[in-house]
Amino acid sequence: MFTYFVHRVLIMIPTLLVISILTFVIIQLPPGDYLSNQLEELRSQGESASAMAKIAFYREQYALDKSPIEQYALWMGFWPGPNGFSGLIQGNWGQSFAYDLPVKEVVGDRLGLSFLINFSTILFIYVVAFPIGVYSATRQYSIGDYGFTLIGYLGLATPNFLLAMVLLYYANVYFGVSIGGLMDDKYINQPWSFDKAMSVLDHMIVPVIVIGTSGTASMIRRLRANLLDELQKQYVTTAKAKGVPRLKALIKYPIRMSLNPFIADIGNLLPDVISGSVIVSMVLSLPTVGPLLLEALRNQDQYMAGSLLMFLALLTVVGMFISDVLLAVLDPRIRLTGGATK
Amino acid sequence: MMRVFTYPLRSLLGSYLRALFGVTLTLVPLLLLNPISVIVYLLVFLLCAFVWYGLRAILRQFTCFEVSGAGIVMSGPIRRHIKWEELDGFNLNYYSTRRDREAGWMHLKLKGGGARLSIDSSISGFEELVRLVSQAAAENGLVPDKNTARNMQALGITRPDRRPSVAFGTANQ
Repeated sequence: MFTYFVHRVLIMIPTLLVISILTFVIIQLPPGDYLSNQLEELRSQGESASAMAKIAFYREQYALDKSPIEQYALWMGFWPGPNGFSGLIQGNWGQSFAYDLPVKEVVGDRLGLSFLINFSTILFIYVVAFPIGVYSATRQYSIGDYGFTLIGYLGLATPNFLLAMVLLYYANVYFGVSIGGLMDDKYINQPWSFDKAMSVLDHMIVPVIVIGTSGTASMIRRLRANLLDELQKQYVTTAKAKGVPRLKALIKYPIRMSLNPFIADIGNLLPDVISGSVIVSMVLSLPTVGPLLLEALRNQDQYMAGSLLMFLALLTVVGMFISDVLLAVLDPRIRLTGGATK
Repeated sequence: MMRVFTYPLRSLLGSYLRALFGVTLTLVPLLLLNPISVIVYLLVFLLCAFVWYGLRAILRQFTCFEVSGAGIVMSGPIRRHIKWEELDGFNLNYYSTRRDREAGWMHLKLKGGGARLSIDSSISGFEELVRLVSQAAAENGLVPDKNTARNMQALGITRPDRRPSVAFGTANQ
C-alpha cells in the first residue's frame, strides 16, 4: 500500500504542475490583458496621470511586460520578482486588478465555503444514493423501484441551474424562505460565530440538493446496476439455498463488491460537482468562488482567475487521489480479462 | 533443498529513480522557494515518504528470502523467519495506478509466529514463491480471502490440496 501511495503521489505532483501551466495558458489566451483594456478605456476618456502611473506600476510589479514563461514562473513563485520569491507557493496569490486588492483579500471566506458546499454535496450524494440504490436493486421492478427510477431520470435530465431557479421560486412563494446567499445578511462580513455557522448550514440545504441531484441520480443507477449484477451471481444463490439470512446474504459480499465502482466514481463525480457548483452559485448568489471566477475570466483578471482555477483543480486532483487510495484499499484485485492474466 | 529469492537490481532501479525524483520534487522547493507553512508541512511529509521509499529499496537490494520445507527466512540487514506450521495469515494484493488497472504489481504479506513478511512481485521467481506459500497455507488450513484467491488465479495458481513437503520436494527437483 505504501508503494501505491508513493507511485500515486509521484503522478499527482507533475499533474498539478501541468494543470498550473494549462491554467496559465488558458487565462493568457485572449488577446491583451486587464491592464491594457483599462489603458484603452482611460485613453478614450482622456488620460489621468495617476491612473496611468498605477497601471505602469502594476505592469512592472507583476511582470506583465515580460514573456509568458517569466510571468508563469513569477505567478507560481518559481522565479524571484521585485519582492523576491512571491507567488502561489509562497502564499501570494497575486493582485486582483478589477478590485485593486490582493486576491487573498477578495476571496476571503469564499474558498472555505466552496470547499464546504462541494464536500457536503459529495456527502449528500452518497448518503442519499446508497439506501435508494440498495432498495431499488433488492426490490427490482417494485413500485418503489419505478418511483425512484423516475425521480432518478428526472434528476439526470434536469439542468442544475434550472432546478435552482425553480427551487428559488417555490421556496420563496410557498415557504417564504429566501434561499439566495449562503448566510443571513446580518452575518455577512462578520466574524465566525455559532449563529453564523448555523445560518450557513441552514442556507446550504437547497444548494446542496440542487448541485447533488444529478450526481445522486447517476449514483443510484450505478449502484443499482452493480448490485443487481452481484445478486444474480451463483454465490448469492448458494448462500440463500444454504439458509444464510437474507440481510447477511446481502451485506456480506454483494453490497461490498458493488461498492467498489461506487467509490471509484468519486473521481468522476468531483469535476461534475465542482463545475456544477460554479453555475449554481451564480444562480443562487452564493458567496463561493464560482461568481468570482466567472467575473475574473470575463475581465481577464488573470491572477484572480488563475488562483481560483488552481484551487478548483487542486480540489479535483486531491479528491481523485483519495478515491484511488480508497479503491486500492477496498479492492486490491487484478482485473481478469478472458483467461487468467497477470 | 532450499530456494533463494532476491530482488534483481534491474527491478529496483525503478524504485531508486522514483525515490530520487520524489526527493528532488520535494527538497528543491523546500530549500529554494521558501514556501508557506502549509506547503512546508506537506513537502516535509512527502520528503520523509520518499526517503523511506528509497531506504526500503536499498534494504531490498541486500535482502534475500530463503524458502525451505521448514519455513521462510528473510535474511540481510533485517532478519526474520516464519515457520510453515506457524503461518497463520497470508494475502496477495494487486495494485495499479492506471485507470484500466493494467501494468500493476502484486504484494504478498505473510504473518506467523509474531513476524510479518512483505514481498513485492518484482522479486525474482515471485510466482513460485506464491505457489510455495499457498501450499504451506493450505496445509495449515488457511483459506485465502476473495482478493487473494482472485490474484492467485491470475497467476495461474489454484488452491493446492497436496502437502507442502511433497510440493517443496517437486519444486526443487
